[in-house]
Amino acid sequence: MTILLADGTVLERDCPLIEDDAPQPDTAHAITLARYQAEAGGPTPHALSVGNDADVQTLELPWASFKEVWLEFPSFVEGQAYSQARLLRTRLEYRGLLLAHGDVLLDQLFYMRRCGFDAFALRDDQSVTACRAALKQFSDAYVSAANQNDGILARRIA
Amino acid sequence: MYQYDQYDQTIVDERVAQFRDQTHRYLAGELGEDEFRPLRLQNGLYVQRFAPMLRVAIPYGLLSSTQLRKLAHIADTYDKGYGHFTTRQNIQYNWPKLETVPDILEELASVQMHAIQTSGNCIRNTTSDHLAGVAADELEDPRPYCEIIRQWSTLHPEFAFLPRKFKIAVSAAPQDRAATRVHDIGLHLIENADGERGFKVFVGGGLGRTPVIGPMIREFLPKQHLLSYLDAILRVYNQLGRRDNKYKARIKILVRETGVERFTELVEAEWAHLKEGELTLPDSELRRFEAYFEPPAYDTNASDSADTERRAANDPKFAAWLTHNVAEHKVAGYRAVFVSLKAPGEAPGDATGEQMRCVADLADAHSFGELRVTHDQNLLLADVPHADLPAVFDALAAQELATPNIGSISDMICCPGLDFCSLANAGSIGVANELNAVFDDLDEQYDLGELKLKMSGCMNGCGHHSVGHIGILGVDKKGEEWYQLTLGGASTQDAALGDRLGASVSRADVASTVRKLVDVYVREREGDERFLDTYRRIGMQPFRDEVYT
Repeated sequence: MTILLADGTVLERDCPLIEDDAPQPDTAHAITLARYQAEAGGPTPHALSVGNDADVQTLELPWASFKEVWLEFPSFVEGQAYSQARLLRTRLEYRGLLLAHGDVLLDQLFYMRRCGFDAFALRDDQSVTACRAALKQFSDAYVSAANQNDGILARRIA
Repeated sequence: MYQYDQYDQTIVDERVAQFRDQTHRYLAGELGEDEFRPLRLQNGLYVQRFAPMLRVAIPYGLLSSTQLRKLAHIADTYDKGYGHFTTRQNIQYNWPKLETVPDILEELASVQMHAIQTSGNCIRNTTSDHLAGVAADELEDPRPYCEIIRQWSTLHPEFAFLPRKFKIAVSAAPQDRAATRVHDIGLHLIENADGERGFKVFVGGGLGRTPVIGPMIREFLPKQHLLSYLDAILRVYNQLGRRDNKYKARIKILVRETGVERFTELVEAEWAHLKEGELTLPDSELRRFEAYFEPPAYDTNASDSADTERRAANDPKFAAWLTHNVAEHKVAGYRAVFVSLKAPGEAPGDATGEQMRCVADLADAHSFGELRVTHDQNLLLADVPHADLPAVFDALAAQELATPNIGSISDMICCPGLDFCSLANAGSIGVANELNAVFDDLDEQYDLGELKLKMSGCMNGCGHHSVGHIGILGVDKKGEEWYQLTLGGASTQDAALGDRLGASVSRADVASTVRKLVDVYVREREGDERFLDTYRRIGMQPFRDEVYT
């Protein structure tokens, strides 16, 4: 799986999302929220994949214990995960890797990054070079990135 | 008016570069049709019946003469010499070539304009009262808040892929001239019992196939919390709004299915986390935005001109125009002048490049270089000295822009319909012409008084038929055009949805049916009742009897 990181570096790695009824391998992998909740008390997975219909605020998960949280874009027009990401970063103080997966396309990356995503599992047909550039498509923004206080609206006041 | 600083300009310039790249990738086959669609939509570009349609934002309807000249230049250079002003204070070009759109956007950016988020499932252009700043009944100018909302909503990273489009309107006067109650969010600037100013917040209004008058969710929101509260509403909507059915995806459906009380609780709970955060607007910042909208340098000695009065006494055409197209102004000696884009035989809201340049010149000579687009698809010169009215009239009349019909039955709102739109069932513009032919007597129009006739070519409701005193909706029946009529709608402070008259009528019968409805009104009216007042008093039955028996 090719993963573009927010700093522009590319990670080639094998860290699959395991089906709920398949055995968990010893190597790094992700499991779904449903499985994690069903197997309460089990080992903490490397990565937790949260569906875009989950209310992250009321889940009461030990967010800090996950190295990675994956948020899903079943199709790029379904934008719930932008809010989930922002909430995880700003309110739930999640500091691990936040990965966007599914229909992840060049023209969404700038928005994703500013909502707090820092890893992007690009759809197969996306050009990594073009996507890297797209992370910096705009040099500025009105609304601050998650936890950055860097937006124009905030800076004008400061 | 607001002037871009280096931040605003940078964002608009970079947006042009981004769209140029996207268009290039699409034309090179690197970007699929499905992926290009939401990107072009977020830059106002539709693919229409015959050609692409580009919608350009006119934030809260305010334009400088320089900007209007640029719009005229675009009409002449990239289109067929005209543009169409819309009910949401935008302008649409119906014939641009896709490959030239990045150039058009660059031209717009050179005069501090853009097409950002004029379509697509995102936060659209914020609209307001066309008399903002000059209306005597206004609490204060709402436009600084519109500009603040414009900036906050522009490229907001969290809300670019909402369940559906999202429209915000702001009004600061008891007379609601911005149709706020039929917007996803309607904001009323008010003063509370303690003399503090803030917003009454309405959420979940809308037109389209499920028209709704938006319920109030907050009685009073202090000004400084405007953006954090909007953030909270949008966040609730982005997470819970339906995406399984585009006809149930607007926030009005979420509010209805959740219940106003529960929806309000969700927003308030979210806002509790956000309210003292970085989106809080300090007084100093509010004042900075307000300063851009300071009144122009009015002549404090101005008074009404005897020459203008004399012309009115001797020239019936000028007098009619003065009565119907000129509105009061809060400053003595000034008037607000409507530029009618409803000349008989012309598509409502259309203006040629030459007409736009004429209005730009008049704005420079007589109205401090600015003008507005109204929600009724006309233009407005807001600050004209009374003494200048004859000169303004003569120039407008020479360009067919002085039809004295503002507020009358022929000042109708009308969508582009079958002539341009790929969604439409009906030739709205043709029907408008037939109606104009039936009601071609101006004296009769004046006798009928304020009569808001609004027509949409399909149930998406771009022509606001649901809130017309008389509403006309084009429907398709086995490939034929039929028309559903409604009565009693209003988009003002007493907002209401029109009631269905009965079975739809054929294209051939639309104008004669409206004639019958008007006849009932004339027969039944008491005193100075408007059509709407009479309808509300006597109800539907007399109208039905006239039309169907």
